[in-house]
Amino acid sequence: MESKQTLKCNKCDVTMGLIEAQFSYLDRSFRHKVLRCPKCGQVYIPEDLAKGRMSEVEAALEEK
Amino acid sequence: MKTIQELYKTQSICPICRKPLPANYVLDDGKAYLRKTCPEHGTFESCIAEKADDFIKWTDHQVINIPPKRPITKGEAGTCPLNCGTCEEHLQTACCVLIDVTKRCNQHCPYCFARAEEDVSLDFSLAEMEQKYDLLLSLGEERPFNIQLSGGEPTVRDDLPEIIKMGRDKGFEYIQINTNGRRIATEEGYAKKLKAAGATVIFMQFDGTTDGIYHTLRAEPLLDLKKKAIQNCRKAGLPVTLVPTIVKNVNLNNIGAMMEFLLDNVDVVKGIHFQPVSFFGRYPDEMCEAGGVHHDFENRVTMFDVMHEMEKQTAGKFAYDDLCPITTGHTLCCFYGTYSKEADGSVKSLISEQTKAAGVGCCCEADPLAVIKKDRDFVLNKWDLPEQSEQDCGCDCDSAKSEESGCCCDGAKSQENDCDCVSTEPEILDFDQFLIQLKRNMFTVSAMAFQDASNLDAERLRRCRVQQLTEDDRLIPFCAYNSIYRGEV
Repeated sequence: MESKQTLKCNKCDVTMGLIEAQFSYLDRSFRHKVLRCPKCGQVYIPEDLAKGRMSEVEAALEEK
Repeated sequence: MKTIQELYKTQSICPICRKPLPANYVLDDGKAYLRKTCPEHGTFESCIAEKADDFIKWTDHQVINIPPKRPITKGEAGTCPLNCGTCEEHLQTACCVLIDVTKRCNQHCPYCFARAEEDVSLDFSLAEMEQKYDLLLSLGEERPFNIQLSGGEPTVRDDLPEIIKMGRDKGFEYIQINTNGRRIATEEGYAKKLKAAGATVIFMQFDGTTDGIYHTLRAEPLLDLKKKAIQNCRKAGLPVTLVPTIVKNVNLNNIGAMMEFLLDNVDVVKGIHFQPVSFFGRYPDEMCEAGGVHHDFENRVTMFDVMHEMEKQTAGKFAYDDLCPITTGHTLCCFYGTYSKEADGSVKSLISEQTKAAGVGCCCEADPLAVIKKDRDFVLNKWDLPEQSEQDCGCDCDSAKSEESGCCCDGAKSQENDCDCVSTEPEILDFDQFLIQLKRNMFTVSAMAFQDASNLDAERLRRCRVQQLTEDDRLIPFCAYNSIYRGEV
């Protein structure tokens, strides 16, 4: 059976949970579900999101 | 005492005998002019910028040029632009290639750069069209040239959809139709045929928001016809770019109204591309001569006039400072801006300070092909509508699902569909929703300052990225073609 991958916060050593975070950039706000450490609040941005949709939005907003 | 400051030298032609001449950009009484003297026909001057500072700032921008893959003709020192083809002296590969698919037209406009008539001349065949496409594929780079099908009026050819489809099947990613919109307005279902064939954008003659303007420029009232054409494109999901010819004493004062018209129709109108009048082809104006100097046409409009008038007539909504040059080309040829219409009806410039300083198109790409791709993909991505499947934005408005109107929420509310679901409270969207909404509400504002025999600058021609494919299979910079070659090659 396939096991579900979990991520732990490197600083707090606790399992991160999925939350809907709000991002702000150039006076615009966006929401996206990302993993967050329940203790310190740090969120994990996966590479495919950073290089994918976030990058597209950045390019569109800045004529890159 | 009047001071004249010489800025730099270039080469032009005599507007009468067409012989190449040395020319100078000069500052005179706070304005920038191009001046030249033909030993036989006298001195000619043309205003390039009403404010010297505009000229100096604009020409100071960086330019990146990537030369054509291979030259077609041989240039000769001091003879530019008499050997166009493009020759080995040409500095910039084409972004867009224009093909005149017919010389016929269904209008007879007092202003027409192609001097088109309702004549009976034969159009070239589909087999000849195929040869032209194949030639362009061999001349272009890995990402094929963008194509503009023009004329004459291309929609007078019944086989236009086949011509479009043939181009798309051969791999041309972008095919824009340069049209007066008459057939799109009057023939039900025609816009859908063009869309189904693979047309990317309707590049539509649109000179303003009053019939008086059309009466002067096109010899008939056309505003309702233009609106109908836009509505039919909306139904077909075919993006429109408005293309006004700007003539000083005719419609320079209508720019603000045109911008409002765009905003009311931003769900389908994805850009406005101003073309300050160029005095080639057919036009009623004359140069005036005084004291041995041929002064500029009274109706001359510079691209700087357009930018300043736009700011003035929109009370700063579209500011001069939000516009910048395109770096692949010559900085005196174009201005460009991207905006989004916001939920509260305001507009927001999407050009960053960094881009403004460097100019649009100036990317960090070291690979010339990457620059070419970015250049040619530019309008492909900008003059586009969300996919039909993306049109439903989740509002409760029934008209959002209707074929008649498309989606109308978030600033895309159109004159044609008065949906009241526009919310002034910005909703927080996820990245996908945001990109769809941005595409729906985004539009471009641009201009191309064409050159005619009065203000032609060989240096600008050498950097020209809009080229005409001629009957004898040469690629000629658009302005050189219309000033010198049309009807002769």
